Amino acid sequence: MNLDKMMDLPGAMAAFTYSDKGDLQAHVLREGTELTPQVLDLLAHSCVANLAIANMEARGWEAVTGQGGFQPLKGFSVVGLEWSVVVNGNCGVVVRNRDADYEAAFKALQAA
Amino acid sequence: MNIVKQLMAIPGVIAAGEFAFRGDRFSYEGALTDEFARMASILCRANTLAINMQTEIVDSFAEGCGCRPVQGWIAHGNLVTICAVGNYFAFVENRDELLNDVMTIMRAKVGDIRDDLLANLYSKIGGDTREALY
Amino acid sequence: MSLRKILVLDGVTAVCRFRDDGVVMEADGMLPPELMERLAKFAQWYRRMVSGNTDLLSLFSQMRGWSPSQGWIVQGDAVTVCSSGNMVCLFDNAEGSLNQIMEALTEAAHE
Repeated sequence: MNLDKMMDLPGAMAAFTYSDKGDLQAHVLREGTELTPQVLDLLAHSCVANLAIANMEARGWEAVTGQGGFQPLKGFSVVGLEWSVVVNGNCGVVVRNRDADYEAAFKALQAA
Repeated sequence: MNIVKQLMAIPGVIAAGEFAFRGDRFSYEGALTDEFARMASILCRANTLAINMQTEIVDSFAEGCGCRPVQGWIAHGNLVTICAVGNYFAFVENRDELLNDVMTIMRAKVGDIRDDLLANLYSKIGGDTREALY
Repeated sequence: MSLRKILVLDGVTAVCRFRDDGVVMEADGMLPPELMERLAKFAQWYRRMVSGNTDLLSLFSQMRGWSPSQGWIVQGDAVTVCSSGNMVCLFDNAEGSLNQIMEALTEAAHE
């Protein structure tokens, strides 16, 4: 996992990896950002929860409606006021909303 | 033109709509049946509530860090993506540049979501809030 | 039922009745006011989140009896926080009885 490469994404403020339980493992922070490792650790835990819930929704939706296309889930993003966190698997990136390229972020996370 | 109609005018947008705090109050356009749209609005509401709680917790540890009030979320599926801003949602095909366009339009048209989103959603309930949905 | 009746139960350290917007209606116990406000807000968010996920479970499982959700329990190593309706309570695991406390909270929530 090359976190420095993730930091090349437009507006990237932080990139991080986390365990299956959500514990922060490695991270890179853009200089001057207000984000801290503690905030990233909290975020990572919420991301694990969100991915699990989104997976449950994808499975449930496909089973009940018969519509496909959601599984396998390729990521989840929370859009905050000033920044968004985009995650997939065990890796995430925080991007500034005004520069965010969600598609590029999802693509980069998939390749990671 | 309203937001849902504008979203539906974009090629690749499968469906779009609005949900309230209760899953049984919704409106939509596009390729969903009434029942599926009801399910979609319940799903969107659940995710919106979950991330609102999470950002509140994150914010309590890092006040003013820029995550709150939360604006929306994106669930990126294999072929389809669901995105929500405020109480609007859209089902979009995974095509190049489409997700970014939809997000830009939703953010611009819905506007910045303020802290009172849930209070507003909640105020739309009325009646007996303990009534069973199913 | 006054909050006192819940507070006197073994192990209970704080109990609170909160409004739909997460504001404290009444509270009693050993938490400072600021923490009590946080507890109420957290409880309300948690209630909403659990209710959203329960609706989904109900929807996807097509099974009756889950929704609307009535409450939630989070049991930690030494303390438990639990809620029924618009009541939330914090207690020590070593001393408190979860069943007894949940029963009292449910009764108070239906008043």
